[in-house]
Amino acid sequence: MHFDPAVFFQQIIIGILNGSIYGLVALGFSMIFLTTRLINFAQGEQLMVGAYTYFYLSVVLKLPIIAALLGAVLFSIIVGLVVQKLTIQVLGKFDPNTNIAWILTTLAGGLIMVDIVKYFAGTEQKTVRRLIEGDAITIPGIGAKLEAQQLAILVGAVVLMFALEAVHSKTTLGKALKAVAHDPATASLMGINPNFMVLYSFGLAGALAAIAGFLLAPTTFVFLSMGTFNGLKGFVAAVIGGIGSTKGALVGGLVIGIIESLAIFFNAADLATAMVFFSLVLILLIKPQGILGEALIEKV
Amino acid sequence: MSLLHDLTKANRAAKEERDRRRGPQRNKKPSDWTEVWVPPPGRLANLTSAPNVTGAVVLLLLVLFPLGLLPGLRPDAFRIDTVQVIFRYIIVVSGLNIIAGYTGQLSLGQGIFTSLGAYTGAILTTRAADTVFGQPVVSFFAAIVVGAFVGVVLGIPALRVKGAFLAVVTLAFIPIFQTVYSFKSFSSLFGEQGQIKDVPTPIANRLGLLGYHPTDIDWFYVHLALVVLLVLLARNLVHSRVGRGLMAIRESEVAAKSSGVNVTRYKTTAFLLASVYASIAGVLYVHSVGFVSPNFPAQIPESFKYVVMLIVGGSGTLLGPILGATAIEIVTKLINVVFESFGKEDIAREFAQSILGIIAIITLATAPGGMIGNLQKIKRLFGGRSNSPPISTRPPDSVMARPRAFVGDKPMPQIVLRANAMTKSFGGLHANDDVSMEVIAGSVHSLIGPNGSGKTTFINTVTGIYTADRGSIDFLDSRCDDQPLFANVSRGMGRTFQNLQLWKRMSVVENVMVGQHARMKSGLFASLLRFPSQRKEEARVRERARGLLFFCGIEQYAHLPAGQLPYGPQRLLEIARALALDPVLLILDEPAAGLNPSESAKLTELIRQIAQAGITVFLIEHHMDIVMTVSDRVTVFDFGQKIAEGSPDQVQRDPRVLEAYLGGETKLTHA
Amino acid sequence: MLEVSGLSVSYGGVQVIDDLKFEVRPGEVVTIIGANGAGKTTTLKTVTNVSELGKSVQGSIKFEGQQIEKMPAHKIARLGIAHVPEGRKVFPNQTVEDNLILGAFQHRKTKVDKDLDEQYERFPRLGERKDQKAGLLSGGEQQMLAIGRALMSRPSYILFDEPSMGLAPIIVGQVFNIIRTLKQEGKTILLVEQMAFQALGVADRAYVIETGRIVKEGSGAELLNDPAVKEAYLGA
Repeated sequence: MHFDPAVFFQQIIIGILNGSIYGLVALGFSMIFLTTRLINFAQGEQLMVGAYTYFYLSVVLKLPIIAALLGAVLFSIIVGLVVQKLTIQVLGKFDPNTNIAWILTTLAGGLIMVDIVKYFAGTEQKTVRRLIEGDAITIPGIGAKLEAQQLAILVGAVVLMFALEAVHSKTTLGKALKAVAHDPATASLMGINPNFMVLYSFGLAGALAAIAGFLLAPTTFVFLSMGTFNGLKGFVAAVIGGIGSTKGALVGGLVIGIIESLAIFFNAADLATAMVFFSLVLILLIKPQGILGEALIEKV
Repeated sequence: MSLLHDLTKANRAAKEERDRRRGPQRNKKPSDWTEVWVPPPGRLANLTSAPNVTGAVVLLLLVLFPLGLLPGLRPDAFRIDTVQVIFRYIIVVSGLNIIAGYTGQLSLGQGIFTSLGAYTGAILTTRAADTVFGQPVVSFFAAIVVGAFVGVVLGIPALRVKGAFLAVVTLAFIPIFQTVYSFKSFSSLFGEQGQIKDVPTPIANRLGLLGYHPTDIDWFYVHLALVVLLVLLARNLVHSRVGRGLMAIRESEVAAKSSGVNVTRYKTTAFLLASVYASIAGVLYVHSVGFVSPNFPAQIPESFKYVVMLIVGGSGTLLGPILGATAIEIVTKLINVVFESFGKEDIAREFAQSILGIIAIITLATAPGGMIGNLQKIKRLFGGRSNSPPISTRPPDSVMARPRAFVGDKPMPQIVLRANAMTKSFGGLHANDDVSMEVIAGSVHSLIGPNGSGKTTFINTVTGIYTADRGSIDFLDSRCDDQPLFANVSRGMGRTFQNLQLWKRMSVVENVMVGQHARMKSGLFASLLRFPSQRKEEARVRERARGLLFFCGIEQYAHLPAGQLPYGPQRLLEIARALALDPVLLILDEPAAGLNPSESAKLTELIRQIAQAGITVFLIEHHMDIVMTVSDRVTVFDFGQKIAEGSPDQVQRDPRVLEAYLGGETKLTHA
Repeated sequence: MLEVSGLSVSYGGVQVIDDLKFEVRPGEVVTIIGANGAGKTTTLKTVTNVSELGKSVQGSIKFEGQQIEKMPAHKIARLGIAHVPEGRKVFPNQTVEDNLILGAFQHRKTKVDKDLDEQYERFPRLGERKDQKAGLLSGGEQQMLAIGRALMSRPSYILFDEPSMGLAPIIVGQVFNIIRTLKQEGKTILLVEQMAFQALGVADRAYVIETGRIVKEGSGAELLNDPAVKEAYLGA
């Protein structure tokens, strides 16, 4: 096989780009996991709903990009809160480790979202405008091309993640999130309202999902199963990087973005998805807590 | 101490006298576990022992049966088909129940195994139709083999995680299989885009065996026979050593390991069984519809449907899958009919997933026990008898009630446990530092020391949860710290847990039966098929369990779910369970924590009796009165090091011990 | 003043607290002693309304004249009632300092450095290990951290739930010394204990609880010399 460095690096760039978006989805999983020990199985579908909302606002209603993005984020936050109310809170008080009913209810929430979007938007793919017009520049030395839009997506995703990380590690709010994650009852004795923290994490995860959907829309399409696939990939990224860790989310995202790109480069595009999920199996065999995951202190 | 003992005894006698005079009271609450206290049935109703399950299965099938074939009437293809679909779901969901309901490991990827059965049947009967492998019976068994094999291959990595992680991992397998089925290079195997059409079916009359072609009625009977067989096998499993092992894993993994259950192997076995059940349903499916594609049944919503059926029926109960599959399938059909009558059948189709999702959410929010849970509630409402067998008043055989030490064929060595300059550290901190000690056979040896002095680390290293960094620990003259927990347990190392690790949903007697796991022989096949040897073993083990409960003074609770016991008896049940192993060495980790003085006195006496039975006792305890009364030898830890060892008298006088632990003048009896 | 009256609590239909009545006046140290399972922990958890599965509560709990039985736990905490829970319940994956900062969550908009220094002065060991994860502390150190964390909220009332539990005798002595110090500093304390001897030693007033009911009350010294109490709880 002929090795063309320009094509190779072009694929790597796409991998990094997609990887940063998977990282955002992974961060959404991490946020909710951190506060509630739950994995929101509707998270991926929220990405899909966010992308469709953005499509509707920007293409159908012809709103400016920023307004459409804000609208999609706002709507997704609301969806996140509704998901929390209807699939988690409805179950009453429970221990997420022994009672796994929430796996089914959140999954059900996601399936319901697919049906609703399908009913209103149909099954055909949608296209959205490019974020930034402009010619691609050729990176000297390696010959790969980089578009302004791609650069914007990458920078946007990474900056957003680090900003959140900074906020959560420095502030008392971040510490309170961690405390609620470990033991909501004891956290409430400190004057922390656990319900607020849970809603906060669901809302934030909803916002992250909408942003990820917004960033994916111009480079792929907007389609019904984008939620399931990107949601699962985001989850794989979270596990590979170590769930609960922001840096881990980014690293995990990049790892699977690049795995996908390499699969395409080596002419195995059909198997790209399978390889991503296979990497999940591998990481579980080698290091179940993920690359950057910290082993939580628990007494035997 | 003996003064204390007498006083508490006198105190109790006086109290009993008071109670007698007051007569029976309603709502009397337990103040002491020596009183018989049977709490009202709560949410932890004993779901595992439904004795009349066989009758119920027959009854249900009799209801379903005429739905498919009304006797005397011409069978209606639509009705037959509906019931066959239900039968296939019952099979898949019964399998899922083994891994998710009984073992507590939720798989969201069961559709994969249904599809594997379907593809195996389809490929063999179309591509190898002329060979022996193309014969339906052969392809049926081939599907079982494929299901079992892939079940093990996927199960081993996936079961390294639990709960939601396992759910996502199994979910993530689905897209992998979908892409593999439709992968271009495999099209000679899985067909163009993974689609195999024209699979022989009874309707098309090409499904044949040695020239005989079954009719659709014959095919219905094949379904029926398999459902009955597989449901009964599941029942046999649940009431066996293997099944109890699975339930023990669900309730507390570490306790299961400490009773000698090989958790990894058992989980994998349960996963394999679930896969085989699904594969069987898959073979039936493909020969019923004659078609298979990557999108069905290897599909997320389909796998989700299985789980919804399980929870709607009642997860972890034998009837749950039957009720759930039947109810969901019939309700779905009814909803279609209703929408159809309004001319909106497309909406019912479009929102099929949502309907299922809403049913799941409503069930979980309002009736987490599923239909079975509600049936039990209704039964109680009408004052029906509970499922628990009556408590036997007959005293157990005294031989069965006596604890004993099991050494196998070897003679008992002089030293049961020996630590050889053992060091174990965590992140540079020596939790155990160069510890050497010996536990002499037949003695009661106590380990005391301030919190954080390394006692728990020491036990965890002895049992093999940790491996020593330097030095080693020998149990019965061979190294034990580098062995897996269940292997040490099988060799006679019994333990209790400081933070109770009972199997709360299982009955007290079942808890003690699982305790005998390592001393039982019946394997998977003996359990599934109920060999005569297995039945004999069951009876013997049950009798011995009762005997041990009697020995520990808690036989009156035998049939209560362990989670409903008062605190004191729970502690004693931990001991009864550990004794069930016939341990050479019994490790008691703070058995008196939270007991009141009279309960502690009783415990002291129990420890004495255990030691008299020849079992070496290794005791970790803060209550100095107990330690100093029962111990032959006491070892004292401080900052991970052994600072003193000797008889209780010697240790109590040792200045280093007084300084580090007892704090000089603190009165021992109040410690 | 904290006034509890007619308090009944049950879990899944099983009654554990039955018509309880007691009060804690400002500046007092009050102890509730009783055997395991008597309902001591449940009483404290009901006062601060810690969320629990399957629990139902009846009766009245009044704090400074305000009914608080329906108030969520985080709001009760903000009234100035700190609860040092049974088994310490430090946040094991967070540092000692973060644990303390969390104790001052309700004061997060103001500087808490002074409060931190105060705790480090009171418990020098915590200062030495402030950057270590709380889960790596020994049991005694964790108990100090739990107390320090409670003090960070600048409470007027402190509720202690079996602070001696699972601790070596020498550490138990230290814990009771801390309670004595807090009493001298003017804090109001409600102490729930199984170690009746030590608890009665520090208490102004005491209640004896048995199977969810108060069976005896009096001053600490009175109960210490009561023959029935002696027999049942002090091991004679």
